[in-house]
Amino acid sequence: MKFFKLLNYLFFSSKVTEKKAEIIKDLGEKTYEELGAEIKDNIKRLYNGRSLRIRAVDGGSTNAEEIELTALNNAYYDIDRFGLSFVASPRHADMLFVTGPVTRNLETAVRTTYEAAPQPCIVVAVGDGACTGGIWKDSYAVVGPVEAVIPVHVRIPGDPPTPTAILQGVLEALHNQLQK
Amino acid sequence: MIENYIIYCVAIYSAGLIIASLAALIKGSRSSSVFFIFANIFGSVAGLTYLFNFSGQALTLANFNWLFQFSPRLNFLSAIFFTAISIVSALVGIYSIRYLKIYDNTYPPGTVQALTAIFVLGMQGVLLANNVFVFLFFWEVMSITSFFLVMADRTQESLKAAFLYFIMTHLGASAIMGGFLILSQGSLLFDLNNIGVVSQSISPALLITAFILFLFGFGSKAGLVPFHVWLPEAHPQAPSNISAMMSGLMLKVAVYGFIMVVFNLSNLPIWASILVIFLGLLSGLVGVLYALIEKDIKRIFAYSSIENMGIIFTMLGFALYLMSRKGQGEVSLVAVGVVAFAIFHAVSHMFFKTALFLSSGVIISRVHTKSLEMMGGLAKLMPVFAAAFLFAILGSLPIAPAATFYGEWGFIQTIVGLLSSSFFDVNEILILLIMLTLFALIGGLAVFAMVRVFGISMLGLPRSKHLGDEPEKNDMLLIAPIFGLIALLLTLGIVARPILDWLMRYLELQKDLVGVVTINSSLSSLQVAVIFILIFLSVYLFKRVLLKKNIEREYHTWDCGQPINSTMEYTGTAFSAPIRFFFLRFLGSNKMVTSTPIIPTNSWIKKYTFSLVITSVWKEKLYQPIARVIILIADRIKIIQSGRVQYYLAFLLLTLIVTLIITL
Repeated sequence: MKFFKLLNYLFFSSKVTEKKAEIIKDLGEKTYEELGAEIKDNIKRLYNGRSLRIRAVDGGSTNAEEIELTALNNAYYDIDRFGLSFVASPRHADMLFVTGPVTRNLETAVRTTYEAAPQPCIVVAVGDGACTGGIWKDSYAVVGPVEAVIPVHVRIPGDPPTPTAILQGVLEALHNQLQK
Repeated sequence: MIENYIIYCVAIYSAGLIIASLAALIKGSRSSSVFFIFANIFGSVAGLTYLFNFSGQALTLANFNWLFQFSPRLNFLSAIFFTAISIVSALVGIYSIRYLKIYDNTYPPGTVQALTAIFVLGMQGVLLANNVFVFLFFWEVMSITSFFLVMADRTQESLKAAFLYFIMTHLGASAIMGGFLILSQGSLLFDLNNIGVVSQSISPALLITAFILFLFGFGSKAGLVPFHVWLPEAHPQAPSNISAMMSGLMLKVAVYGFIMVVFNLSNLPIWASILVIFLGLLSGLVGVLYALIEKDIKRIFAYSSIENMGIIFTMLGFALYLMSRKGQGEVSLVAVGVVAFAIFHAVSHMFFKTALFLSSGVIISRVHTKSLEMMGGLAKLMPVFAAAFLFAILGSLPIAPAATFYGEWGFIQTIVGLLSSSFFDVNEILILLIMLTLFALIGGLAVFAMVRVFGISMLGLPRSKHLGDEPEKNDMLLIAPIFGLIALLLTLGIVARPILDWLMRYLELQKDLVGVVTINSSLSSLQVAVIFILIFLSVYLFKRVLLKKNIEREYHTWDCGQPINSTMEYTGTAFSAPIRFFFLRFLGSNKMVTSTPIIPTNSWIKKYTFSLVITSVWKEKLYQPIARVIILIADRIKIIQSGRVQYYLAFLLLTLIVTLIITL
């Protein structure tokens, strides 16, 4: 009987993860390069300085998202061409990438980093753990998704999200800023 | 008519000071302070009345011919210092009310207040003196009261410092007495107006001896290197209001004495003025370098006083040089200008040094330590006081619109003007260039020293856990006089140009000055002050009006996740390290790192001890060898004290015979 209960739970109970389409508006199947070029245009329009500085904060992740963020900087994906770059100090940041569900030990770190970043600062939750808490959602060691700690503007689901998905998320953030 | 008012005011002043001291001994320091402050206000009224109406004339106030021919008199030079001392003493009196209350366990308030009143009486007596006996009497009153004031807290260090001060001040006083005795050929009731006349008729050797004695006497009181060793010991040990008065006022009385006596000696050789210039520049350099590296905040201000006295003596030495060279082109009138700049700088030093020492008293009363390395974080605790201290520090730097700027700037402009004129030959231009460069160096290092003091003591996080958290408004009586002194300094800075012109007009150094040369400085102090005010106003209005739409959010420093505490801040030693390393040979700092192994079997586990000691080069290389020689000689002479009366009687007979041979 336990087997049927398990099947019931697997197929018919409420889902933990959300479908990608519910979060990211469909911007069409664009390639990485097209996304990059569009981001560069938007950055030029939005930030006259032609660059968007990103600070990555780890709220207690599995490092899978971090490896993808590192991949963004390598010779294949090279985001520096589009005007995006990673900075060390939140004082220099225009955008915060928060990865992982926020654990209790790192809650202060995420909060202080957000408060140290000057407004306007776009907060992007990267990865399933950051968007919804992932499989650690109700754990005793986790506070919750990033929005339980700091206000989030854009979510990028995926465990980990591909570099193309990350760029799509950044583009959506810029579109939102332009509309404001 | 107006003279009578001045005479009455000065009489009330002296009576008030004596009543203040008696009231302090009998009743207590509170009522005495009131008498003290009002007496000083009367004194300043008297001085200001004289300066407005009688500039350039000597005014004899009374004639006590039965009392050692004492007729107190005011002339232009003494009236300037008289007025300034009265005003500053009144403000220090207001400060003392609260200060002695805070420290009534350490300093006996009645005794300190009584001695302060007599101290001011002594200083003003020196300024009003007309003959040598009265001058030396009040000089001694000044020295002895300040000796007792230095050891007011009766600890071992203050006793040692007071003893050193006692020795040095009496050596100086005896040198001055010797100089006057040489000039007057034995008469102590010699009128001070006759110095110029008498100096023309004594032999050059005697004149030079008298000059050296006066230089030592007035220089040691003013803190001229190498006679300065008592200053950094005595001023920190005294209570802060007394240090303020000693450093701010007593040193200027020595400057007054020097100007009054030495500038009336005629036919001084040229090397005498070069010696004064050399000692002045040496004092300036030594003072500012030790001010940079010291750890005790009051020692820093004491060394800064030495530096400023060095600047003043450089200016005075240069004026002497101009007056004593008789080459082509008379530049004597320039000498009057340079002395005017020196006096102006002395008065502005009175204001800002007193303000600095009063501020140090406030700081020490909060942090309970004199060490700069244990201070910090006071600006958040006492914002009003931090503003006052900041203005005092800025006033001590040669930066317009404070008055300190105009004295030094005028001197530099004079040198530059003389360099470009054709009155000097190549050797003399060398002297001018050396003076100019060292003057600029001293000014720049002074900025460094003062910024270090303010930054380490006021800014950042507190380095000491014993920060008193009394509300600041209890100490308003301590902070208000500091603001008063800064207001005086700024006012003096705004009206600097007219006051300098007025000084140059009425200062009479020698009766036979023929002036064909004037150096024009085209800086108008009023314009400079107005420009500064306009700049500040425009920046403030710009921020208020045009930047209104930017909302600022205050947040503490980004600390990369590690909590910031006071151990991460600059210490005073670290801040001054670049200058200390550059001048390492010149300073006597001794750095030692000793490592001792703890366990004999493992030599890699060690205990490290670090010590950085700043010694006084002058004390070790100059004073201690001299002391050793004197003690050696005294040991040899001790043999004649054998204890037998017959030997002593034989000595008496011998002395009598020798005296009779000499006199007959």
